Amino acid sequence: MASTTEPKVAETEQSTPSEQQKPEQKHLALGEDDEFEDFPVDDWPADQTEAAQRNGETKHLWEESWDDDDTSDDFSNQLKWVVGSLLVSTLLLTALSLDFRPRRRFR
Amino acid sequence: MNDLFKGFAKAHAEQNGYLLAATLSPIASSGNPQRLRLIWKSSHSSSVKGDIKHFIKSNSSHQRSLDHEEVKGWVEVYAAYWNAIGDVVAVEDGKSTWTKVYESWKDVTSALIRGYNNFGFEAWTIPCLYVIGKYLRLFAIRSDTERSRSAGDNSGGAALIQDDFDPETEKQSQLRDCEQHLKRIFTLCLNDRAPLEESRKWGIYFIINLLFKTYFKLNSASLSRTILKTLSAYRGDMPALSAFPKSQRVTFKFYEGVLFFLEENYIEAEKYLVEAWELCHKDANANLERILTYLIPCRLLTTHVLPTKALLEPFPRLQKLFLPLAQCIRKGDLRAFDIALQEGEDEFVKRRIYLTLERGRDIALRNLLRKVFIAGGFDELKEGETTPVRRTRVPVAEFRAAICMGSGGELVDTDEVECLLANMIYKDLMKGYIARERGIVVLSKKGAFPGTGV
Repeated sequence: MASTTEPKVAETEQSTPSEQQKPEQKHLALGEDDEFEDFPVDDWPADQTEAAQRNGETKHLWEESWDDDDTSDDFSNQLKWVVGSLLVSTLLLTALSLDFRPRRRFR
Repeated sequence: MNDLFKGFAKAHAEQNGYLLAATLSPIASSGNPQRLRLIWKSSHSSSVKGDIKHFIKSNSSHQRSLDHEEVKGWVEVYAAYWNAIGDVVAVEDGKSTWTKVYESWKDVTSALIRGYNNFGFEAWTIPCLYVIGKYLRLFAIRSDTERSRSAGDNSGGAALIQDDFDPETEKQSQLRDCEQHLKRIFTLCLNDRAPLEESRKWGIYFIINLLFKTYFKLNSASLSRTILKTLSAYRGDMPALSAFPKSQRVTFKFYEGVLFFLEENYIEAEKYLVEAWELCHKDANANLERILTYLIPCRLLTTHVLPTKALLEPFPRLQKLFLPLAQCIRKGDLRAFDIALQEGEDEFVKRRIYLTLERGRDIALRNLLRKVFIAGGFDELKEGETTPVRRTRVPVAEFRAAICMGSGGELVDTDEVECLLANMIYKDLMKGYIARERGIVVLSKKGAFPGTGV
């Protein structure tokens, strides 16, 4: 009964308004701009669904979030360089703080 | 008005609820732009009830006749409808307000509800409830906008005096009121004891969807839970959701999914959103876009996958929203991720996905650390080993270097790096432990970064 109704009838109500009625329609639609819209038809056959459209094949729609094919040599060279410079700066900082310690002690 | 009741008689003869509902639409039809005006002009307030009764009787005389009580009920409904139409026409002429329209539409709603409770309206007529409920909500929203606009015009002094007055609540007072009436319709459908084939229970999901929309608009999405709880208490005598039209199912699944999403239950959310997406009409792009707006952040957290260009192709807005972030996540570029998140902040917050996307930073970091692991190459083969094993002892210094690089050259100290690593391990994005005294991370030989093939 109410479950399988004719889409056509529901359609008439939603169909394109005449010129004169446009502003009114727009106003009514305004309240809905950020929420789920009413469908123009009440029901549709299974072959009209998004799933059928994709033939149940959704693999190509999603991909892994990581990629490791891009120039991983570049990355590892850069990494080595940064590890080196971090080491130097850490040593430098340690050296500086060693340098300061005796002075403080003498004060 | 005669046309109106020809439609009414035809609908009754065919027992076609949607046809009947169309006669109660407060907007003009495509074939007849003057519809409302004609209806309004064809009667007068002093004679409207008599006119309606006459038209109902004369049009349906040769068909199955309505019983006396039912006619009485419908006369009430159409008299209230005629009255409301008068207000709609007056608004169009600038002579009335949406507030008035809302008030008179509320009378139509009450008359209709009374029809079911007192005058034996049959269940096939429930699409009337859909039309009434749908426009009740839209008129309430219109009325709220109108009222806040006029309040804005003459505020100033008044607002200062009443300091205990909450402008936010006041702004949506009509919609709040509307919620009460939608709930009455909800109860009307829920409590029908008639056998399922002729039960108003078939109206339940349409009304629930209206209530969901209302709660989301009122910024109290969580109230939807109350409705779902009530529903599940009755689930036993309710027709299965799969027996309802797809438009209602998709909308219902969407809101249920978003609800779980807002409750940070991403596993459940994904389930419902995927169902909504699969069932959705292929050409309903705006709705598909709304579903994906939540499904994409959801999947990022559950299965750590990103949408492909093929998926986003029909949706330029989603491309703009998600592609920059996706790029940063894939590259493990933390700094660019932060910038992209900041740049989209307003949009993300508006769509309530900011907090979820923010968690995507973990995935970006995971990808960065994974690159370090890959760059480490393989250990030398030991005796008896045939397949090369990746180097699983990685100095914290290397991770630190990568994190400094990913943060745009900012110096991140070792303690903070260890904290980030510990978090990754805790979240199961990385497997292993930190050997602090030796300054290395010992990663699992079987899947150091679960689900990423290494």
